[in-house]
Amino acid sequence: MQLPIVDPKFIETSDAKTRGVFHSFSKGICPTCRILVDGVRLIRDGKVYLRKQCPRDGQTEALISGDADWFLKSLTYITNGSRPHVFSTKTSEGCPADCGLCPDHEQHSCLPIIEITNHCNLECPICIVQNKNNYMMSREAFVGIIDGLVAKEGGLDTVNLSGGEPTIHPEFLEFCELAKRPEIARVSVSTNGLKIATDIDFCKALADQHVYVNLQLDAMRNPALRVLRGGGDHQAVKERALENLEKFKVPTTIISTVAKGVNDDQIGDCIKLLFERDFILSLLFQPAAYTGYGGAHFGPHDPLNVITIPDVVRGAEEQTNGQLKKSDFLPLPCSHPGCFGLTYLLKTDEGYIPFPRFIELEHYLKIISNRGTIRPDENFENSIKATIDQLWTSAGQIPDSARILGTLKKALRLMYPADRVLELEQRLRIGEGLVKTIFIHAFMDEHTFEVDRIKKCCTHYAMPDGRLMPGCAYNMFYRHKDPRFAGDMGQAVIWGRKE
Amino acid sequence: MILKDKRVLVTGASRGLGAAMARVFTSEGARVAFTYTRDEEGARETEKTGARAFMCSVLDVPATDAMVRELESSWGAIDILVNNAGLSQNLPVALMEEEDWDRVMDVNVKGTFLTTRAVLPGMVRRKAGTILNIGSLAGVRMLEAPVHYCASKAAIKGLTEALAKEVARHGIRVVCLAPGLLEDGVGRNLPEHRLKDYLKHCALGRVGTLEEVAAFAAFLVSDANSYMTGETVVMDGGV
Repeated sequence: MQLPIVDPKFIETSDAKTRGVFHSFSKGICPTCRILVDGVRLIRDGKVYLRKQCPRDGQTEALISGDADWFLKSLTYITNGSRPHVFSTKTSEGCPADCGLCPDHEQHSCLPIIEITNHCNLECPICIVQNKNNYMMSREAFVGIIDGLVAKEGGLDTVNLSGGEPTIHPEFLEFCELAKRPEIARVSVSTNGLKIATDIDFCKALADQHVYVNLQLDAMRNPALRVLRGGGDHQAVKERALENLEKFKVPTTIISTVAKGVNDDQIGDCIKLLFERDFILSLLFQPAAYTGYGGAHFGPHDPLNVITIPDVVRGAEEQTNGQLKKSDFLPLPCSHPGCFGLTYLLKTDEGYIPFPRFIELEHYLKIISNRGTIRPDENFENSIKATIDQLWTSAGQIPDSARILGTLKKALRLMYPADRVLELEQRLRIGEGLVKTIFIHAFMDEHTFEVDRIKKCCTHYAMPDGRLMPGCAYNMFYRHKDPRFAGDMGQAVIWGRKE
Repeated sequence: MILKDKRVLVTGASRGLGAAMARVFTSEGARVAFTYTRDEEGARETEKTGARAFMCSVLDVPATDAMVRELESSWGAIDILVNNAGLSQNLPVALMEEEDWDRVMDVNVKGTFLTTRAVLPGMVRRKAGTILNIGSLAGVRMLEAPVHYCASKAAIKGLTEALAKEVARHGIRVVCLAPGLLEDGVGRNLPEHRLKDYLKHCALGRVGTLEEVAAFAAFLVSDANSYMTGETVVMDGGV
């Protein structure tokens, strides 16, 4: 769905700080009764708000972008999605009531998530789900999901095992092995790192199985970690987990949930960690979303004063002393611009250089189109060729051109050595060591949910019955009804109340 | 056994096509010696075929001369020389520096010349011999491949023609085998989409195996192929 574009001059009037400027219509949900309601996007004081009108509960408003300029520009990067090969449900009641995916969905599954358990060894105040500690996925169900994903998608860049805390599933390592199929390039696990910190053999097993680890690490220091993750010495656990992951060179992504006034001053620290440790390939900031347990318990939560994608970008610029700039980040074109922002960084001998500083926008958008990870395909090769030619002929006018060319040559030499043949997997690993990524993924909650965003969602929960559930829709409309999790307690509670 | 009792020197045979030729030539009755530079493990593997290993760069003239003297002394002569040692670097022109160009041209072209020059006197004295140069489809067709590699393989084609003319009067044949993409070597390091593109234009729709190319090489250097010289034979599955 293409959104209308507003000329920025309309938001730069003298009374723009107090007077909202209409941007576009939207459809969201009432945060009180959770029915679908009409809404509008308004630009006010350089920010973008979603205003909704519920016939029963009245008007509500929520901040959806902390930077109107980012929001407006991001709309120019939207590309059509890549539709799934197979749909599992029919379109009957309309989005988001037909999830699974239905033919109305506009994006395939870039990142399928398999929740293999809802048991967890933490009770995080900010958790976006509500773990009932009553479900362990069976091996048969897991294999069925993998088979279904391969049938639907053909090839997959990544399959993610999540939970709950997936590493406490008794068959976790066996599941990782089962997911290693020719059609699946990477198997990743989202974890709080407790088991990695305390069980060195387990960490070695992850390395041996080439599992990618998404380590939850919101901040570097205990006070902020305790606010987000509950009591305990999280700092010590995270440091030990990082040590173990580094020891076995486990390719790692740092996942940082960013909550306003809690840890938004530690964005720069997370980026510093990414730059300093070779085994950390990427960093994913998740502006806090207030669903599940967090929706009920984390607060106080003011929907008009939350962190959004451009706020993380601003934090990155301010907290790295300009090492990163706002212009280094772009929305991921294949998703809704309100959902993903990212930048790729080239590792040179003298530090990191963001891709947008040396690759023309046209080529950069091709590289990041329809996926969040770089794959050495034809698009990528052509874009790199064009970039090399541009740098080569620039006669030094592009800053750092000699350094970038030297790095690209080194990359080619490593990936295509003259004296031996490497497997594709080995080349991918070398490439991963030369490029780091910063993602920003904004989940939606009852205040920020928008139908057009969910229709382009590419982060899907893979269900045992074959459905692929767009993440935020599942968390808000389906999770509490999922018979796997309802268990003895019956229907799980959302937002501290029964539906 | 089309190479029964033939004495063969193959350069660069610790892996890939060179190793396959050592295997096939041995099984066809030849005595085989081969060179390698770094790959000890591969060399030990090739030695298991009964071939004799020499750690010797094709650019090391004294070592090459010494190897040839030793082989002629122990075998009596070298009947067949296969100039196989070569390398490539996957680099676009923009990133190719003088040293990159020199390295590829040195190993692929100068190395062929130097080894040939070391072996030829014995062949001329005996008025017999066969030289097989390993070229490439990239040296005879317009392909998306590094320019220094293509230039070196085209040079080998030219070298083959000129040398064949020059030594024909001594009863020495010189031929060049130009394979397309093979299951091992340059083909395996190709990006997936480029391999797909190649296969799309290949009549047989697959890359070549080392064994089938080595088997054809055995025929090319055998006495059964006595009326061919100066020729570059392309073996590419029909590109």
